[in-house]
Amino acid sequence: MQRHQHQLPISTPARGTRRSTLAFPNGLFGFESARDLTLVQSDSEHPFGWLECKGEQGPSFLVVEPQDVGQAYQPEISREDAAALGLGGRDDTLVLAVVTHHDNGRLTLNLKSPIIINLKRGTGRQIIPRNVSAFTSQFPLEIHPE
Amino acid sequence: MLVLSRKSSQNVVIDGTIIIKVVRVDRDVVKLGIEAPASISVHRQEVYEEIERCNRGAAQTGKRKPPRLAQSTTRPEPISEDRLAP
Repeated sequence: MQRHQHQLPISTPARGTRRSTLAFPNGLFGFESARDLTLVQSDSEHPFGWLECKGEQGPSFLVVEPQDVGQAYQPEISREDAAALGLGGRDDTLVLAVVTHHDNGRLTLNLKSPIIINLKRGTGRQIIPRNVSAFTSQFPLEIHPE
Repeated sequence: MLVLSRKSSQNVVIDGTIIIKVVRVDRDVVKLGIEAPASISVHRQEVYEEIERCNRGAAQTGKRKPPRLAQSTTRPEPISEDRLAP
């Protein structure tokens, strides 16, 4: 049986960068074969992180924790999704939203299908919450005026 | 694709466990009721399509640096390293 190794944070040239290897048994919607992902979080890029798909051509997804951008986000995770992920306490659960970086520089959050990660097991899933109709897939983030 | 005609309050059963009920027919709107085991997720097709479209639009091959967020938006503390399990 293959153990899903949850990698220790490794030191990299960039200070304060953490890489977590994650297993996504169902991939992502539209990217079902993206089963091996790496979550990269750098202090310098906070609150943004990158969810990278394995392989040279593997796409990367800009992600953010909705709570880090002031969103009181309460997706209702179905019992099935929670069971598939083996979710226990809130401390083990990471909720991420995919960020679209539009050509015109705008940033929007997909709150319709968050990515739920079990930090203890190193597994994740993109889900459709039970209260999906309450959310938008294009929630705008306010950019710092330059 | 199997095409069936149903009248209001007639049902379709899938795999012996999923029941689609025609609750009401009103001009061009059909109200459907779906009974399925909790392990089966049921959503309007547009939801799946929208989410796939959104993922495709968000997928990047080069990691384009995102712009800085407005002051009011971000929480000050970076993600604590303790959050990641050993």
